[in-house]
Amino acid sequence: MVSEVKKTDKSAMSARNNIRDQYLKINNVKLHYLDWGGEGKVILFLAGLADTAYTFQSLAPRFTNQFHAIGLTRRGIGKSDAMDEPYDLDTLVNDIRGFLDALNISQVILVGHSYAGYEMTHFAARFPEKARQLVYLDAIWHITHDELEARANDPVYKTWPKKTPTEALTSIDAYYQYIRQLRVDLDRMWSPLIENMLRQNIKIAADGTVEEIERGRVIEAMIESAVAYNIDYSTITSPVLCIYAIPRDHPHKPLNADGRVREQARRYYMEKIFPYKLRSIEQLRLEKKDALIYELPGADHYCHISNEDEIYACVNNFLLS
Amino acid sequence: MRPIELALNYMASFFGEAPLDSMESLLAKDLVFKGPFHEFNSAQSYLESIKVDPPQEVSYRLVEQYETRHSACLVYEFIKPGIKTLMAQTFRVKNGKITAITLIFDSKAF
Repeated sequence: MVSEVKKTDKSAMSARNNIRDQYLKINNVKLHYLDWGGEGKVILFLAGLADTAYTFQSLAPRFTNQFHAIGLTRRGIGKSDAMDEPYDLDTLVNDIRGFLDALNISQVILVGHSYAGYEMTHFAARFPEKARQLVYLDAIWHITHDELEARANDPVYKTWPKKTPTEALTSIDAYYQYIRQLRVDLDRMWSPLIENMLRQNIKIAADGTVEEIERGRVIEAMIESAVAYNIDYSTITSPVLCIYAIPRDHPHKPLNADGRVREQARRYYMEKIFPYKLRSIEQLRLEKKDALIYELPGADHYCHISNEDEIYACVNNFLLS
Repeated sequence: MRPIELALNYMASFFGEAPLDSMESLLAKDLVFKGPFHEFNSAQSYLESIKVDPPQEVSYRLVEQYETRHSACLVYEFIKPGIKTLMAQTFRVKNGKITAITLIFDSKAF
């Protein structure tokens, strides 16, 4: 049956424009969230490792004509409280559970990017009755010690300064310029949304200078927890949609490098790093045979931004099917 | 033509409901096609590849269609003897021509 053509309606625009920061205290931690509105089943958007709910500021409102869309920023990141510890997956998933309970949400669709894949998998294993459907947006990627080592030896990062240079912190424009030099992936899709994402992790002083908010320990703790986590997709009873990006290039750029070095970086990424993701996808195929999987060719890790139309179509279709 | 009309006309050509030659008029010369198996950077190279290896015994069942001002996206079931898999295809449109196509599916189905 051919369905009618669906158009992006005015409610999505309104949801984008009317958004405001909201907070809830869960497990004694203030968590930041965005509520784009809408009625119906609740979709909770979960961002990647160091990202905030703002990463979904363009995609999420598109669902508000049929769903209630909310985005949560995990502890330690953005405007959510940061503390020394804990950041293990049990704690992160307890935050999600507490957040849903506080809003009287009995069942939820989880849509997560990158690191959120761990949270979704663990949440669905612990609270299967709560997880209605799971959508992994380039979020099936199991970090291992081997991969961490491969990343540590990545030639790109050997060309990067250890600290952000002072001149890049003199103004927000200088900071953006610096990030665009390093991050091919963000540069390709540069927009006010990307600038807003970056602003969540910096402070701008009255004189216009930029200070990066130190999150090294938080990120480290989350990665440690992920490496130690034993993923088992066979424990998931909820329907699963997985969309993963197949890159054509290294997402980051060697500084002051010629074409030969850039080609080396590309090959290193495709041969030494990317295969870890493919192995993770294979595990999903084996353990969750009914998972619906799409490959997104030539896409970046932030595929929900670079390929929003494709992601929206696939996710919406999956949620309504 | 609206993006959705261009997309549906393209599908008709690809799946043999309309002459394959009619596809050329839908595509911009600098078409960028990205799919799990192939990538092309011009309409000519894309059309040549289809002519060399034309789709045979294939059909599709449209599941959902979406449209914005400059793009259309189709979600459909691709059907070939022994294969039935969901695909999504986005068509970006400028000046009445398709400028970019992104095709996504699970290549393990083939």
